[in-house]
Amino acid sequence: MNITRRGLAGLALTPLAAAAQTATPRRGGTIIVAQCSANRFVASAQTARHPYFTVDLTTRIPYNALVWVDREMRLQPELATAWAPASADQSVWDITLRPGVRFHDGTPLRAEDVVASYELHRQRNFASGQIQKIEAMADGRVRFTLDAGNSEFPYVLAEYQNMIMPAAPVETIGNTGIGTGPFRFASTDPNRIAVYERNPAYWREGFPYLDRIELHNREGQQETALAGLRSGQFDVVMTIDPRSVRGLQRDADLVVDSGGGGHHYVIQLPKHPGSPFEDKRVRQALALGVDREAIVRLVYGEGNGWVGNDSHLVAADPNFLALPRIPRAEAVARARALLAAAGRPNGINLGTLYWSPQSPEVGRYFQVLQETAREAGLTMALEQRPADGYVQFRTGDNDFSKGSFHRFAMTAVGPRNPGISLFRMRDAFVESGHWRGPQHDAYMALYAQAMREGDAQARSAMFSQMQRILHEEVPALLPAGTMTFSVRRRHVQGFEFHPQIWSVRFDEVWRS
Amino acid sequence: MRPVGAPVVEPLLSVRGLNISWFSQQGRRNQVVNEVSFDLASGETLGIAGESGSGKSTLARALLGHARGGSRIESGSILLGGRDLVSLAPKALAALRGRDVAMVPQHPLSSLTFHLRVGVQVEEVLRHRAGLSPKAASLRSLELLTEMGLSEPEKIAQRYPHQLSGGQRQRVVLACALACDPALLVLDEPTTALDKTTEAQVLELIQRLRRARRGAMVFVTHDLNVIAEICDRVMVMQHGKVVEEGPVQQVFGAPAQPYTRLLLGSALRVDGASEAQPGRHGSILLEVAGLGFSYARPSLLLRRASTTTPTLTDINFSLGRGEVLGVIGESGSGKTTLGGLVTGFLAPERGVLRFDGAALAGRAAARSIEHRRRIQMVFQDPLSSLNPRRRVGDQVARPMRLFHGLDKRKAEARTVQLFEELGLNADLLTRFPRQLSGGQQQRVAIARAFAAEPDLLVCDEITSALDASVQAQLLDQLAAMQRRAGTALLLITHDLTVIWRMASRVIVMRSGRILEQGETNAVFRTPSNPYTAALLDAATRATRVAEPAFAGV
Amino acid sequence: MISLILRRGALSLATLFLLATFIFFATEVLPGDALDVSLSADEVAMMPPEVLARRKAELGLDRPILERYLGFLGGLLKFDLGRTIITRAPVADIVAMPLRNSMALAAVTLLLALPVALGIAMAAAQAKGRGLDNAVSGAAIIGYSIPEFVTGLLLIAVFAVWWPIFPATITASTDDPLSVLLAAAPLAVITTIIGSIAYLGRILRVGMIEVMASDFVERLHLSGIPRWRILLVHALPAAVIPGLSAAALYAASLVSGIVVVEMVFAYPGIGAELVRAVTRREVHVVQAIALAAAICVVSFNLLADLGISTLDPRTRSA
Repeated sequence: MNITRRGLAGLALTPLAAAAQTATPRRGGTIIVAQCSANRFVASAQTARHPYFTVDLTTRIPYNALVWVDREMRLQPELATAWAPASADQSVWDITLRPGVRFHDGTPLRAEDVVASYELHRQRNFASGQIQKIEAMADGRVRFTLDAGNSEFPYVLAEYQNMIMPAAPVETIGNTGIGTGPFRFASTDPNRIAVYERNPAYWREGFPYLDRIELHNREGQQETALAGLRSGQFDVVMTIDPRSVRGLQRDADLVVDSGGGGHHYVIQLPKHPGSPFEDKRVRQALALGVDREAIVRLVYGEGNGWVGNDSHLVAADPNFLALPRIPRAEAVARARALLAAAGRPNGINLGTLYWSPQSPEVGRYFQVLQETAREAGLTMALEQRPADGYVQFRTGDNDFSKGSFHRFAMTAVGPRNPGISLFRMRDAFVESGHWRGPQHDAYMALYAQAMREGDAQARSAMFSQMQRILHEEVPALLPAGTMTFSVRRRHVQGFEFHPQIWSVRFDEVWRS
Repeated sequence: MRPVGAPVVEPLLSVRGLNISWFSQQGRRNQVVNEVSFDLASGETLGIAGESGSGKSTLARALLGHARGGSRIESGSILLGGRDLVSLAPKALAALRGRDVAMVPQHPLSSLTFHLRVGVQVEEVLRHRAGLSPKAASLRSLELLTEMGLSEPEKIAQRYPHQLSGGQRQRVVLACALACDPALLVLDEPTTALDKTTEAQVLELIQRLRRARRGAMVFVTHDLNVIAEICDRVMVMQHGKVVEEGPVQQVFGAPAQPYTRLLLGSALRVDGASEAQPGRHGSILLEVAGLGFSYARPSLLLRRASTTTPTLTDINFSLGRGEVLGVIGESGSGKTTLGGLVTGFLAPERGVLRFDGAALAGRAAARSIEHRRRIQMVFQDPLSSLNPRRRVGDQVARPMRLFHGLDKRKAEARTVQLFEELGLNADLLTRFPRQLSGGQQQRVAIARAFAAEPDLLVCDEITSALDASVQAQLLDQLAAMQRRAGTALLLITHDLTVIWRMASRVIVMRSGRILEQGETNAVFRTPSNPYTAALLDAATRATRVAEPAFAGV
Repeated sequence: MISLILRRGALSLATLFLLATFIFFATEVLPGDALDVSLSADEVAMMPPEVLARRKAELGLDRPILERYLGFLGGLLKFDLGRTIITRAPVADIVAMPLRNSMALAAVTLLLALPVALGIAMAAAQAKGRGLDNAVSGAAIIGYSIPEFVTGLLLIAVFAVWWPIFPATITASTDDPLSVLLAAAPLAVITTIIGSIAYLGRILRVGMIEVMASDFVERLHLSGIPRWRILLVHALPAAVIPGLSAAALYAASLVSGIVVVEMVFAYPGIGAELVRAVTRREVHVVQAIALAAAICVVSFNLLADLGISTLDPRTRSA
């Protein structure tokens, strides 16, 4: 299966939409958006405007972060116009702020606001714990001091929670909903609706086009959202099930957009004594025996999915190093040979693979995986587990002293920069199946080196080397994934979906 | 049909060739009234007698032009005052009902609307049928209640049906029926649900009304004694057909048809000696001293306590080996509770039970297996005590294998023998209970009880669900088996005839107490208690009606 | 009557206490806690274990269960339902409006469905086994056996997409005035009404048919009492009594949220809030909603009992 990078990065799936892009944008109007992905925290009336609690992953409507990640996963300036390491080991970063930016209440953006915002983020945001110190410098720049070198630190500045709010104590910051974004809050219904109106003083001159955005949360209610779309109540429905794409494409009023490669699953391979996965050859046989292209074809549909490479990177990532393509028959033969070498000429039973219905197609995904692995002599049972308590079940609480091991089980993974994604294969983390040994140490040494490395090309080379280690070692299995999708009515223009659903922008959206 | 010389000039009611059938869901037709014809003049009272299933209730409703859902008047005519109720339009029928013809149904409690005060229910008829103003209706209803023999009518009118006694309820129903002074009053078993004392009082009222009114009356009942007291003429029905008809004295004095004779045979006749064999005066088998029972106090939180089990107070009696002891009483007298205490279904609160010289534990569960074997019981409804999913032969053989360790072959042989003794064909052994008739089911239940070879058999109303003919046969077979096996019987029943035929001694119970006990001959001939006397009087009318001294008519 | 009310009231309070205890322990032993389920795999991947433990301690998730139980009971006595674990918002604020919306939907539904259900029952009484009754009861059975989400989706397909006269999904806010909210929710109301008519109609029809076959109706019929009077004055109250308890439970279930309808139409009711709270392991919200449902069930039951004892003099002590 050959997918071009262009296709992966996402393109409107109908040519008409592409043609419409060339029309002149028009100012004014309202669009109504329904969001089907689960929103994370339950908001209350007090917190509904706080970036941590707004209807999920739409923080870039009222707010801005310092940095934005574009659809090719490249860093783009947002409130920061420049960022650069201030130390050779990449552990100190200086950020230059965009001049002339004003908050919705008219007050100008200052370095103090960034400092106050990050006082919250370093305590609460999962990716910002590495920040040791934030300082406003005399020249208006902001300095971040990290606990270790991190060449990809600017990606942290683009995270969906890490929005910039007017300075306030940690306890109350963000509750006003005042940001620098293209729209400002008009009203909210916590967890349900957010209504935004145009920010006339937006720092991007001439933007946004729309007067108003109504955002409705329809998590787990895709049918309702699509009915609303068809009946004209909604203009855009974000994050839909890839399986519904084909049906929606038949509707001439609708345009389906792909955000590109996003969602996949990691399968933990426990390596404690007695586990079949202790033997590297068994892991290699599994990596060869699973027919990844069959999963893409049968589960997501041709064109909707992509083949994974057993790292947490998604295929759309420029650093993604694809597995060598091996014809199916040869892959099966090699898997069988590996099993024979491991003393299992008649195949091996891997026990039970546990899964949880984290998205609608998971059941089919693992059926195909099970069937194709069997062709290579790898048999396994499948067992569905309730979403309730699945984390504990899957990780077995990680308590080796009590003899409770993590399990042969799956979980969903989203797309991020290599610095975050590749860090997930460290031995201290369950998703790597607590992978240990010299190869792991080499992998992590490369990781630390890459994080300190300022040069992107050199870094990318290290990432490739790390992925080669993963291809050889197979600490975990990441067979295949799907792209993200949204659907809009034809009159919605300038809307581009994104592999990171939280990085969608509404600045340039307009109604024709 | 009318016997020659009957004194009718202008009949008020004239029924000709009436056929009524019931239709099952599957469309099967069952004719319950078959070619019935009769006349009734004003001022006359006709008794319609018959057992359940004879079609008498269906006929009674037809006299108001009504056929219950599922039934249909197929042919014939019912002329009331010259108009044919069969062909009348529903509107015209409704106009007639309550005014020209009214009905008193069997169950006064369920026939009154439970959520309305009885005064309202009497006034309703007066307002909507007699056209009285609300005020007039209210005054007239009080008058009516007074006429029905209810003292303090204002108080009664304010009550709900469940707050009245059975007799009071039936008087209210009568008041409703008579509100418009109908030309024809149809009474369907109006006293069956009442105890004998109340029945006597209500019958007295009906008698009085009959004399005071010019109207005609049709009185439907299974109780020949009641007909003997109330009616001028009697019509005996069986399987939907009129078997015999004529003046009461003539029909009851010299019945022409065998079926009439059979019915009359089941009526009590206390002339000559009791047919019961005198008890063997052997050792005492069961001794009951100071027995008392009351159900648990209702809890504070529960809404209703069970009221189905009456209280027993100070019960003393003894029963000899092989003796038949009758327990007579009406429903609510505590006789069934007494049976339950003897068999151990209920545990006594006070008092002692001794069986064959040894103390008998209260609850069956606490009794030895031998005690449980030696005391057996047969119930009124055999279906509820037989296992519907086991073949009856197996059910009879089970106690033999359980208590006596008989092997399969011997148990089968003994079962066949028991079946023969009870007049049951051995073919029936492999049937399930529902495939048997009521009489056959009850025989199976008796066979099962005897299979344990008990010393004492408690029989609770075992014949009251059966037809007269079946009843007589079954009692004969039971008596024969009892004599042969030397089993003592505790025979619980409301039917004095059963006691007279079977029991050498009798206990009379009322309200949980023993009123009187002694030799059946002595108690029935010279009752010392007025209640016993009233029971006997009510039960012997049919057989005394032909006697010159009978004061009933 | 007074003593009955007092007795039943005391019993209801005792029931509520037991239910509250049950709710507490049932929810506290749910696998996982609020923190775990509120974090994605990405976040768990990045968060060091000691940070996780510290945040758990901050949220009070490490306190012993008995201590939390006593705190819960103490809070109830002060009408304090606690605060949410993650946002520290008062639970009462979160629950109040959805509860109001569910009650409004239930009230409108019952108000419109009850007369129709009564009509069905009367039609059945008038014409049992004939065309009208067969048609009506057949429709009721179909209405009852079709799941609400199917009815809902069908209504959306017909009245919102194919013939767009009603909105497909509700875009009104949780705290909009009830008039605005209900006006935005015609299909949701119709869906619950269909289910309610089918359910209540069935109960009442069975009761009515039973009563119409009773001795007192036959006696009245044979007394020539007008048909309307038999139906309305005599039969109807008697027919309603046996179904009252079931109807009360049904009404309580309406108030405590018709999750399916709320999901299909995005009606901002308490059922969806409960689902959200359960998946987020917001134990205090779950407890509050379960408690509200328990109060509903208990008080509707109490009302049904009082209704029965008003209608049926036999249940009042003589």
